[in-house]
Amino acid sequence: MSRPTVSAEDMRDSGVRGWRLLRARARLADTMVAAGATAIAATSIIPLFADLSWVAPVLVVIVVIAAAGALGRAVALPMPLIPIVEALALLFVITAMFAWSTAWAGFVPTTDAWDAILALVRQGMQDAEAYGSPAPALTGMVLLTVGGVGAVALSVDTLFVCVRSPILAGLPLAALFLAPAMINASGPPWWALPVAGIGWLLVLAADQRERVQSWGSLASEDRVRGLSASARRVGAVTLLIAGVLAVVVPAGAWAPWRTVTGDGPGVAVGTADEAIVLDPLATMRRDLIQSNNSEVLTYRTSAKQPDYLRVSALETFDGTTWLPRAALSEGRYLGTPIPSNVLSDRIAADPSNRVTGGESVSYDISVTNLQNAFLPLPYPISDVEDIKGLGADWSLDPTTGIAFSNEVPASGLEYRVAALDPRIGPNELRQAPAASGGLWPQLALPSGLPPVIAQTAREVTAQANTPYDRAIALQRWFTHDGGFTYSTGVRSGADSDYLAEFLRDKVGYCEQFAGAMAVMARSLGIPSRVVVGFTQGSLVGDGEWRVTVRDAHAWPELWFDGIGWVRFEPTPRSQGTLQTPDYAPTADVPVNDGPRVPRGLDPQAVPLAGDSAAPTWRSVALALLGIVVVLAALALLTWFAAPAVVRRVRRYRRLHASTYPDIVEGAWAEIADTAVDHGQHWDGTSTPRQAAGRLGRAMPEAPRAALERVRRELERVRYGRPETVGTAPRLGAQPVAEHAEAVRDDVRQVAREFGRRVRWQTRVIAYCWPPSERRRQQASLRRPTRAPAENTSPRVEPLPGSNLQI
Amino acid sequence: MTQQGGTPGSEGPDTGLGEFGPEAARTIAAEIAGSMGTVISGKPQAIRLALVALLAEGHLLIEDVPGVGKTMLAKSLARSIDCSMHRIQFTPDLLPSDVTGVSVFDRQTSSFEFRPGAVFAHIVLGDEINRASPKTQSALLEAMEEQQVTVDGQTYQLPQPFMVIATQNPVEMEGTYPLPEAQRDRFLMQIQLGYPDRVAEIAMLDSHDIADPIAALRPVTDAATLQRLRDVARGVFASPAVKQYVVDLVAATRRDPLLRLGASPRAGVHLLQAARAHALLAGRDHALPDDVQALAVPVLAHRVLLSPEAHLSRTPAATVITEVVARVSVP
Repeated sequence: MSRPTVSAEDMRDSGVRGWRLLRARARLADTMVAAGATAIAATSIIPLFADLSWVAPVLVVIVVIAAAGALGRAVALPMPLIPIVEALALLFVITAMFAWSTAWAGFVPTTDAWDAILALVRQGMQDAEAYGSPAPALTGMVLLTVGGVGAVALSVDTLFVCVRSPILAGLPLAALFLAPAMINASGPPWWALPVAGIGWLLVLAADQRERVQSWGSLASEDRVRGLSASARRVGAVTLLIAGVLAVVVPAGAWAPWRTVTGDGPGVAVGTADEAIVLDPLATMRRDLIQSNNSEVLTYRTSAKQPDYLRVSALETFDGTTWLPRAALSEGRYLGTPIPSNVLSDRIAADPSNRVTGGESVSYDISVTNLQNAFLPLPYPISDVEDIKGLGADWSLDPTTGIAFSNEVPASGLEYRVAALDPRIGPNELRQAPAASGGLWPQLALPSGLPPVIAQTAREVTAQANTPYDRAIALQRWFTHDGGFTYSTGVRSGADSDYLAEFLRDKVGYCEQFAGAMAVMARSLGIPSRVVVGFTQGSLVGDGEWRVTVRDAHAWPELWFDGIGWVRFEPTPRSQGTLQTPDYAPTADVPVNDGPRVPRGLDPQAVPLAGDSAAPTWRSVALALLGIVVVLAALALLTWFAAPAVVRRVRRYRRLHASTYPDIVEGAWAEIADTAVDHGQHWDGTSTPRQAAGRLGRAMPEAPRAALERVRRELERVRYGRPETVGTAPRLGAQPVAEHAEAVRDDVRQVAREFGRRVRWQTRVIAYCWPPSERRRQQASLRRPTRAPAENTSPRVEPLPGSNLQI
Repeated sequence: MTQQGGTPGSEGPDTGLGEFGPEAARTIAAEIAGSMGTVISGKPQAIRLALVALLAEGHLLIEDVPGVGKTMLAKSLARSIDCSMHRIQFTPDLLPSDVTGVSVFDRQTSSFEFRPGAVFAHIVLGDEINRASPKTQSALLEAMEEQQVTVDGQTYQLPQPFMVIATQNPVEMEGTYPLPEAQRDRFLMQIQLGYPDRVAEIAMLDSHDIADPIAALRPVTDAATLQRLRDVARGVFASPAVKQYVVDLVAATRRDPLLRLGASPRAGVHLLQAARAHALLAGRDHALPDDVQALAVPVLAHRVLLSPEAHLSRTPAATVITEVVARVSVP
């Protein structure tokens, strides 16, 4: 932003024009800085997408908004219109990018185009719900991203270039930085904060440079350069420190929204790589924490509504935690190796296969990343075939339908399984008798179980007559009637005491819901077990499903004689992919999405299940939208209200100054500003007498007399003998207070007269957006040229009214 | 007291103008103006400016074509204030001693006796001053500045109040020696009379029909009163804001590209003096920017030198000064 040298002759004629040119150049530079800062902050989106195809549309939007702003300023649009123009540009460019085929002229949204965009938004929300990061750059999500970045670019441009508030401009930039950080469970990459900071520093630097230059002759070019250099040094050091801190300081200390990691109670032995598993719950928890909310597996199935995928069934509750009942020997599962050709026989021996009927549906499962030594499988399986790399290392526990290995993790495996789509209805279940015969290990309860659990179970199921009705009553109580609140903001675990506590506090997540229902079912004589696995995930294509760690879940299975193990869903549904089985309706209202405690509030929070509260794209997008809307509203409100408020404050201070001469001077300045506000001409080169004469000419007698009184007092105060000023001769010996009140009265009278003579539009503008204040603001923003040396340089004419006394 | 030349009459706590309040001064001035107005028809502004020059202890330069009443103005002024008046017709052969006076040898007393020149009067009308040689011109101008005359090493005080009203023909006319700018600077103000309007001209013909209108004039005040009025005018309060305005105006003329030479510091002093007198004539004890504005053209225009551009565009100095006034902010 170098200032062109203007020759002496030029300046006389083109002083104002040249000044405008300088301002226009500065504005253009500021616009570019705002756009650059937004683009830089937008780099924090990179980790959210798997590829970079979203970058081009985002850059286009930033450039278009900057261009719209620059154009609006070039044609000298009123400031408040510029954000509107930019918003229109945003709408057009989004239409052109995402709905051009149905748009008029390719970019003007028609009804069809509007529908298409809304559909894309909905799709984007759905996708956002289904995907963790990094997500594929699907059109809907790119649209959301483009819209969000566009809103930020608009806000930054408005706040920095129009409102000239670089500090406020940092807020949308911070929102742009925070949103991806919130979505990304592992927090932002280490470089995100310094990079976002660079954008804001650019904004601040541009603003400061302008300010320093406006010092005029005080700040020589050299000194400005020196100041800039030191400012750059300070900024660089700050960024460096921010970067180092981001790496060095433990995550939780500076990123409260991030999950605080740590191994909970009942930690697995060994690490994921060893794949020796004692406690699938703990292992899964560790997986969740370590695998960065990524994809676990994908599968293709012929089932219209696939069921949950089971990883492990825990049948033993020892009062501390749930454990597999499968025979354990030296910390290893004992099972039968799965030779592919005999698998069917083995499975046929599974008592769970007594589930009646049902057609066989196939699942082609491809495990992307699962460090467990368990195979995610649907239930009940009827066959396992096409097992690539699934050999002798893998065993099947026929009683639980769990496949496991003692050697290798499931990652990278691809296999096809056939499962039965159970066709069981409430009637069949209702007719199922109570569990009979033998000693059911799945009925065992630890000795020290708090009695409140069994008692609550009896109370809840008091109206139910059959085991099935009792189960349904329990499920309904958890999900609907009992007033439970879903939250991961509690500690993990499902030991006896904690379950009692859970029933009392009614806050927990799937681990507690599943454990509590299983224990309560056992107390009612229904055999039960807790199953850990995944929900069916999200549909990503035709028959293609994708399961992420966020779909991890735990649920109870209850035994019904003659039918088998039946899944129930006691966890209140939140935004996850939970699905209540058809045979176990929860309530008329299927969804109970209670208020959730923000995860960040409790460092104990552990994201465990598909019903996990890890912020998704959708919630963050909504939050971001909310932030931007609120900011924009605030900015607009400030922009509109500030001149009016400043004007009121100024008026009060003028008319209530401490000394009488100041009050009179203030009264005159107030009359001047009121005249300007109401479109009257006010000229700084007129004497008070001339100004009063001109303004009073069109006035009726009373206000003109008031104006003349103020004028006379002003002349007396400003030009009269100092020793006569204090005596206030106008009203004789009255005290100054009354005298001042008389002056204020006169001012009010004159102001009323000004208002009376103009149209109501002018009155509204004078009240809400006083031109005098705008002019003052513009005059203060104006870069003064250096004071010309006497007699060698011509003067630049002062702006009219710029010498108004305040 | 910030104003210059505090006088014994300016000690009153309320107005500072002593026995003459501003109203009294205004009354006297109005009487003088009324008296002059019976002779000079339709020129109230010129009369007012002449009075300002009189009260501000300045000298008046009237530039106009012959026959518009320059001499009448001077005569009626002198007559109205009951002061002596001499008229000097400047011609190319006029000698400095004709203006100042000369020492002649008196045989009876065997000594040199000073015979005062035409300058020894309260009001001196220098008619067509630009027709005299520069040497003669400067003899008058020295008397104007010093209020005294020095002949043969002897200094003679001029009577008080002393005021020179010089007339000059427009410099384009033949046989004229234009006043150098240094000498023009000594005149407080330069005014034009211009032709009277139709009604005034008819009225003038009527009054000249009857008799010599000057002879009919009766004095409305005297030299002593006038001298006190001058003291009062000097005591009119000029606030710092007004002084700042004067300085701003004068400084602005120095920066104006249409002017080769701006107004001198003496111009500023004169402008403030004139503004004080102007305020007194309006019955005020303090000067206003309005006073300054009203006098800016008569006080400043004849002192500045136009640039070649202004000459080319035939912009008169009065227009340039008016533009300067329109540009400078009023403090």
